[in-house]
Amino acid sequence: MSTNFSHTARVIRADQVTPLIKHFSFERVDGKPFSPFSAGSHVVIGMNNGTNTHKNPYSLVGSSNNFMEYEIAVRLDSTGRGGSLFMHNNIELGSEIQIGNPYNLFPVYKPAKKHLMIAGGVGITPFMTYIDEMNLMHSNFELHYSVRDFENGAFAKELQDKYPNQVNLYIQANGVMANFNEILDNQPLGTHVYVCGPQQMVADALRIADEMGWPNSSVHSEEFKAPEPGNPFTVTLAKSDCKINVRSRESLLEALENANIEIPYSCRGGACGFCKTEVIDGEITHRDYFLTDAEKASGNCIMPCISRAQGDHLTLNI
Amino acid sequence: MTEEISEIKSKPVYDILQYDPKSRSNLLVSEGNGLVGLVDFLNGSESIPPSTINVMCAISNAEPLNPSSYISPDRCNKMRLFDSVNALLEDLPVTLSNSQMGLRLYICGSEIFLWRVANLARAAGMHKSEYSMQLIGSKARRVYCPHCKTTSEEVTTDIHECVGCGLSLVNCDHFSREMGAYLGFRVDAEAHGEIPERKELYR
Repeated sequence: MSTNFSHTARVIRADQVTPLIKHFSFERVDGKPFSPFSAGSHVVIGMNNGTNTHKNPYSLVGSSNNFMEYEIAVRLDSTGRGGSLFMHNNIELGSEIQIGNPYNLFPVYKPAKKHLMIAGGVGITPFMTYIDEMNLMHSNFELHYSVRDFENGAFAKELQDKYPNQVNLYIQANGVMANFNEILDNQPLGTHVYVCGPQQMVADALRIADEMGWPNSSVHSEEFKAPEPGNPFTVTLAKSDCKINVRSRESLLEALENANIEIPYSCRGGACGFCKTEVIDGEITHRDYFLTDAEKASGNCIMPCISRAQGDHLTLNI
Repeated sequence: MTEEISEIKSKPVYDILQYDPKSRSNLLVSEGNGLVGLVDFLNGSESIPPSTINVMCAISNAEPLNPSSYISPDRCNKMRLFDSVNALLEDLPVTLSNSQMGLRLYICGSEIFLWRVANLARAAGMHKSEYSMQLIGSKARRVYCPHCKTTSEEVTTDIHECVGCGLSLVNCDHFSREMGAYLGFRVDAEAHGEIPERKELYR
C-alpha cells in the first residue's frame, strides 16, 4: 500500500441519497480521530477490488467539527474507470477502505464580505462543508444549486429546509435554469464567488464573472478531471534503470504505483501539482490545470496522474 | 532635487490612472491637486459612460481649486465635494459598502492619501487589482517606529524625531502597504547622541 495512505477506515453508514449518489460515513478502525480539515478539503479513497487498487479523490461533506467521522458522496459514473462503480456496488456497511490525509485546493476566502456559491450536480459536495462553516461563523452566504430533477439533487431538500433564505434551487426538469448574469449582478463589493460543477457550467460562470468586472482574485472554482484513456506507451525510468508499460486504461501514475514506484500525489486530477515529475525524453500530451503554458511548452515535466505520452515512449528522471 | 530609483522592492512605484474597460462602475477619488490627475484621466478615457462615473474630491482651503470648473457635470453621474480629507475618508467606507462588484476605484493625491484610501478599499473587500493610484502632491511620509510602535505623520526629512519616543529616526524605503508607512530606525543606534544633520527630501 502506498505511503500516501494514512488510515484504514470502516464504513459506518451508506445511504443511496439519489439514484446516482451514494453517501458514505467512515470511522478509523483503530478508533482514533481523523485529522482536522478545513472547508472545501478532499481526501483520496483507496479501494481494493482484489486485483488492483482504485484511488479516487472526493470532497469531504461532513461537519469539520466531527473528527471521529469522515463523510463523502460518490456519484456513479458507469462509463468511468470503475472506481465509482465499485464504491456503489461493493462498498457497504462494514467494508474497509484506505483513506488519505485531507488536502484543500478549494479553500474559503475568509475575509470576503459575502460568499456566493454556484453548484451543479455532484459539484454540491465541497459546499456542504462550506455552508457548515459559514453558518457557524455567521458569514453572509448564498447558494445557487442546479440539479437535473429534484430526485437527483443530493442534499437539496435538507439544504433547503435548513437554509430557506440562502439556498436557491434550480430544477432543470421543471425548466428552471440558473442565470449567471442575474446571480452575479448587483452583488455587494467584497463578494467572492465559488463555482463547482460540470466543466461547461464552470467555464460559463467564470466567463460571465469576468465580463461583469469580477477580478480573478474574487473568483474560485474546482474541477477535477478523471484520467482519460489513451494509447499505451512505455516509460523508461532513468535513475531506477527500468521500463514500465502503461496500458490504455490506466494513468501513468497508476502504472508507476503498480510497479511499486512511489510518487507523492493528492488530487489525482491534474490540479494540485504534487505528482509533478521531470521528463528527460519523449513528447507529452498535457491534460492538467497545474503547469504553466511555458512549463507545458518546455516539455520537461509532466503531471503523471492525468497526462500521457504523445508517442509510444517517455523517459522520466526518477 | 532628483529622486533616486530605490533598490528596495517594497517602495511603491506610481503610474498614471489606468481605465479598466471591464468595470461596471467607476469611483474617482482625489485630494487637493490630485483633481488634475482625475481630469487628465477623464480626458484620456472618453469612452467611459458618464452614468458609471462618480467623483469624490477633498478640497483643501490652503490650495483652493474649483473642481466643478474642471469636471463638467455631464461627464459624471455624481460629483461630491468635501471640505477636508478626513470628511472624505469618513464617508468613503459608507459609499463602498453600498457599492457592487464590478466597481473600480481610481485614487489621486498625496502619497499618504493614496494609502489611506487604499486601506479603506481593502477593508471593504477590494483587491489591489480593483484600484489604481496616481501620486500628485505631497510625498511626505508616514514613518513607523519599530522601537515604540508609533507612526509619525507627514515626515518630510530623512531624519526626524519620533512623535512617540522622541528617538531620532532615519527612514528608509522599506514600505508597508498594510500600514501605508515607511520603516524608520534609530539613526544613532551604534553611537548614541551622534545625530547627522537632517535633509528635507519628501515634499
